[in-house]
Amino acid sequence: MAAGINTKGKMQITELDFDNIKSNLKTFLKSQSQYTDYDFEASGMNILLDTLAYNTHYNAFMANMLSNEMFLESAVKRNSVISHAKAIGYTPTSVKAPVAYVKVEVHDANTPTITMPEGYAFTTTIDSITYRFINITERTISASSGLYIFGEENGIPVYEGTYVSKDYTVDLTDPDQRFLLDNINVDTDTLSVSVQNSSSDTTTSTYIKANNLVDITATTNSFFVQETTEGNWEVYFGDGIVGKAVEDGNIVKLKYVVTNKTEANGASAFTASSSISTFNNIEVTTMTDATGGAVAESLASIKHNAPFSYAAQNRAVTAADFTAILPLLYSDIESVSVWGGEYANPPVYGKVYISIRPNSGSNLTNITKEQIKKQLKDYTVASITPEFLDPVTTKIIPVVNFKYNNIVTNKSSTDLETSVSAAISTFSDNELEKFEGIFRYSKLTGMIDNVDTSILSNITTIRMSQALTPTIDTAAKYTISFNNAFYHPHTAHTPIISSTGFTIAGKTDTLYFDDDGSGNVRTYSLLASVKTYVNSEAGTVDYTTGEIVITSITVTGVSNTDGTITLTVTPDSNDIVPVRNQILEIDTTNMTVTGDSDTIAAGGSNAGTQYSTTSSYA
Amino acid sequence: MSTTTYNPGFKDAESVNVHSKTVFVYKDLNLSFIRNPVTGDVSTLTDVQNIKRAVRNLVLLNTWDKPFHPEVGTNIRGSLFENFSPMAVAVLREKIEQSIQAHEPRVTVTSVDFGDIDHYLDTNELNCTIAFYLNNVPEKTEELELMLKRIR
Repeated sequence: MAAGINTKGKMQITELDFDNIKSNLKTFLKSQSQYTDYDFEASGMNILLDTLAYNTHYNAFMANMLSNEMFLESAVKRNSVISHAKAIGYTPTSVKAPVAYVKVEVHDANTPTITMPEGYAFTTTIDSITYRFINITERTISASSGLYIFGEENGIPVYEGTYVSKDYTVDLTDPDQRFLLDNINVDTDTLSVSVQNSSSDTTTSTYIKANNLVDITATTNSFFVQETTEGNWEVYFGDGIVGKAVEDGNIVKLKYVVTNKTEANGASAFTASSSISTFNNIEVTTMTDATGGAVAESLASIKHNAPFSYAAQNRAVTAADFTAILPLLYSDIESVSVWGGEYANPPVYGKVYISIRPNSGSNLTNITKEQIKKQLKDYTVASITPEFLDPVTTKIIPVVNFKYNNIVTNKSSTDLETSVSAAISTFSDNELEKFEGIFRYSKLTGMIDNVDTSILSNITTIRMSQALTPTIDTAAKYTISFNNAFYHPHTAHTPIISSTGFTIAGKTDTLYFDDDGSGNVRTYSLLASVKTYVNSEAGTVDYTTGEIVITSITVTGVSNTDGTITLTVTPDSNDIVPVRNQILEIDTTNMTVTGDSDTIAAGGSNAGTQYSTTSSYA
Repeated sequence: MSTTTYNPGFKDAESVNVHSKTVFVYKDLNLSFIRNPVTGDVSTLTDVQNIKRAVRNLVLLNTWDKPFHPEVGTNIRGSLFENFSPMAVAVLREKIEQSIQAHEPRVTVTSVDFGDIDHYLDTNELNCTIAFYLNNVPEKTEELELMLKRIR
């Protein structure tokens, strides 16, 4: 039945679209004979219907949008989302400037102390574009053993961007006065706020950022920040009850870095842009490359994190609390995994393990880890110690053989192979490469079939590999956990472990690992494709837990140029699940993709008699 | 074979103009909302009169005038600053014919006539006579005269 009055004679009132509303009105008018011309576009009735339907549509849209914007989940306007987040105590993260740590040595200085002022800039060049990295705190040092060094141990942090300072004179007679940071690209972490008593009294006090109301009294020099409806940031002060209030004539001094966000991530070589306390011979050593530059928190991220942050209530007790708080402390996070020590293998009580995969680079630097640990102290229970573990990557090596119909495509098998390889690489980016990224075999094979309409089927076998980094010339025990069962149909099955080459103390031949199918890892050398076993009990393998233990070995060299030994195994299940700090990704370098024209589909002359297939077992 | 005869009614869309042979009576609201002196109700338009009114409305509608239906209308206003040439007049004629054909299914246009266009060279106006017949009374031709000129 058409939209409009239903069989019970009731009007449809749920429509929102102009055309449907108008059609409802027309249906309604069908029941009378006074006016009959409503169906014709230019009739008076029709023009009146346009007006009515437009008005109804307009009101319906308004009502719908208003109700959408009233809830955090459905709001689409950034200022609505920000406002809802604020109501539950969540401040979205601003853009973040890349931070590098540099050690600065000033040679030939001869004064008792030297000072690096705030706003002092270092320059670096990426792709022929010069970026400035700013020191945001005034630092004064004296000579130590005749050397003047800023940040001797870990370096001093420098932030990419432009250092901006802005002063406001407080005018309490102006009820609309706001202390705005005039740029949306402000890293609020770099914001420093001080208040000078008046233009005649230059006594200045520094204010600190308050994130919650705990410990804030009527006299605490604290300020708050919030994102404005325009998307930039605003500083506001207490009211004299919660936080000290500013007074008429006070001068509010704001200093902050306006950054280019992600552009200067990875900057590694810095030079001083001017003299320090008139001394020009300055040596800058990079302790940590620039990382952490990030765009402002997205709407999706705010919607996701705000409720969790509210649930965590500014304390980190459960693993989920850590997951909610970590993105607030460090924004350059692509994926995070947190688990209690009781779930570690073996269990370690009183610890919580955190593994973070950053957006830039593969692991967090030690300095960053220490900083996050320090920041976490404000949230954690006293007896819980956070521990950082770097993500461990398990690579999945697919061997793909697909059949295609060469009649329905003009692409060559090489073209199709390239397309399939690219699609697998995208699959790895989108589905895997994060802690919760489970490798689902049928998703991959289904995706391969859908890469091109000419692809008819595929046989894909998978293996998985993990890299072991041995300590050269040192006897050591190594444990490699795949956390997924190995293929082991029966005792004394053929070897399922293989490895890249390495040499050990006392042997000149290149050795490799395999297993005897009975739980032992063996080492062997290859001579004219014949395996000569050197040690048939070099370690153990647990086929059920997917753990390989190399008992004790002194590696003297490896074949891989990156200093690793790659261990490749056949998994028991084609679906592979990452556990704790494990991350799966597809090894696009070592995978093989082979396309073969399907003789039956293409109607080859020997189609029915000489059709070839690929084994489904690795 | 029936011969087409000319309906001697009024050419003006405002005038009362009823067809004696109409089978189905079209009835429309009078957008000028004049009170019916007898019933006190809003007056209605019927038959040829309201169809002429509809054709006039259609011709004078600009594209985007109708909410969500930008395709309805002739956009004559778009011709306001065109150079006055036979081509411009031909385009105008085409627009009027197409628009009526597309959006007024009750009529078929037989001609759109501007008379002697040289006459309008410097007057900044066009007198347009649209001849059409009602599809349910094909033997009678109706005419609608419209003076197209700028208002100020």
